[in-house]
Amino acid sequence: MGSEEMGDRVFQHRNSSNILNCPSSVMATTSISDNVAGMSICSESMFKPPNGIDPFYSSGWDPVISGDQSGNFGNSSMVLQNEFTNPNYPVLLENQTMGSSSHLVHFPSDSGLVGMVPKIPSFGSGSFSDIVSSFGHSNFPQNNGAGVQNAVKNVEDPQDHRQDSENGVLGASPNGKRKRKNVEVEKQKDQTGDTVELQKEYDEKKNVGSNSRGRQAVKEAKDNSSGAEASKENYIHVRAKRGQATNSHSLAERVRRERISERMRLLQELVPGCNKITGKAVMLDEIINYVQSLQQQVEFLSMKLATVNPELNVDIERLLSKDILHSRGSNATALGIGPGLNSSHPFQGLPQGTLNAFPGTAPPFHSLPQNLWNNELQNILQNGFDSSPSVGSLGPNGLSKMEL
Amino acid sequence: MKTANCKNPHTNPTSIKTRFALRFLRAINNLNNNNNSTTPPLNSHSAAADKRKRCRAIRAAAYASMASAVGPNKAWSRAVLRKIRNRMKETIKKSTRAGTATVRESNPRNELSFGQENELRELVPGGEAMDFCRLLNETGHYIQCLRAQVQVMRKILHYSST
Repeated sequence: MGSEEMGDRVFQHRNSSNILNCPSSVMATTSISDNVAGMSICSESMFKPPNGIDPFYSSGWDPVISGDQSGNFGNSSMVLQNEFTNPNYPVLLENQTMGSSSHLVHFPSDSGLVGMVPKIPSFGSGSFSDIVSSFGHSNFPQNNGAGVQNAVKNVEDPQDHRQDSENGVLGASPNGKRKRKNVEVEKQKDQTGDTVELQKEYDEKKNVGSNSRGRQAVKEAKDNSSGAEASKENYIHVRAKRGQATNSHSLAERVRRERISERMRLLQELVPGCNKITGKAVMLDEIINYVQSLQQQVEFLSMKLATVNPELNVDIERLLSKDILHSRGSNATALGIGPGLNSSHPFQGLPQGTLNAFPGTAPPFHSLPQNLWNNELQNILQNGFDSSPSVGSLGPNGLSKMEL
Repeated sequence: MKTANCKNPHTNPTSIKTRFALRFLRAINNLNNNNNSTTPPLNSHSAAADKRKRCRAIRAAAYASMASAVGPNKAWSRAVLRKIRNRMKETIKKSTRAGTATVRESNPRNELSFGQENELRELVPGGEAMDFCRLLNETGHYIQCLRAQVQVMRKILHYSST
């Protein structure tokens, strides 16, 4: 079908046009071509705007871009470079189950769409912007009567048009530049309202199979349901598995729960001794305890530092800066520390006395402790803290016995 | 939420520690210099009070240094820096403390019913105004930075006491 070709291009546009896309049903990693292919399926039902025609309904039904501009976007693929942050676009959750998909995509009204136009940097073609600029027009161009009718049909009777093209369009994978963070799925509402909702069905997409790429897109969509989060996409394409509730709310809830459990797993690795804990409540308790204990340690250490530190002077900073700027600090700076540190001897009677681990604590500082101090400071600053000092009998954890 | 914000291991723990150590030591030096300029009080009572004051100052310096070492990329560091700036402004202007509006997102879908989430929000700076998922992110990063902070402070204490 010639129209199909046109439809392909149209859908390509749609895929790449973030404006309308509901990032919702983005297949996280599917290429745009896949979506385009998917969309080609519903080419018949899609409005194929003539050149320069504004395909947007005043009701805000999205979509289409003039076939004229197809060439420009044909290969742009879904590289949605847009900083598309319109919160009006909820994430569309795909439902794979038997055909009763009720995922809807909300499209903002035309005015919103118009506002979105400038934010799409990837669409460099001026012609496209021209097309887009005609968004807000309430009058639907009559040039392409057939297309309009199709579109109108879609608007009025969305239930009949469960086309994957919509999915492809809306699901155009916004490559990570969208900032939508919420997954919203709403049930179908009045179409005459500002937002027009469309239903999508992946099953139909599969069945139509007029384009092998569409099938491929579907398969990829399946794979991406849980992996989407790991990618840079901000849209999560979720499929309800077999036997699971396909309620939009439950799907969003599931996404949220998965996210939270993933974060909890990461936290589990951070908090020591939590490997065997299963259960969110217990894990959270552990996390809270750990954070509290860390904060208490900071308090304790700051108290200690308060009592110890008065004699530390700018020599330290000099030493630090030299250590940092030069890979190996010079001994000259270390010597400069000596007199400063010597005065700390009177404080050894304080509880910190147990911390003194240098062999030369009693006598005045010799070059050896100074070098050690120098090296240790370098360790502090450059190597991370895991390496325990060679000299100190108390390792980095030496304080832990005292503190807790 | 930004999926890109999912917890990564500290991208460069060494550099964070280095930055923190630098800032912290500088802050301590500043404190010391300021304190040295004032004559030490002879009264033991005020000495204790001074000690507590100094302790608080050092603790504040530690958190401030860590927050500035982390930078404004994280919500908790931003919250800490904001608090410090507000406090500084208040001491300078001597105006009444303006309570920072804390927005508690009451998520009807909270899965925890024991108030743990609220506790965590109180612990992590800036945690009041985020959703739970983001709170977990921030907590992870906060834990990493706290750990680094504790290690640096221990080392500094270790070597300053010898």
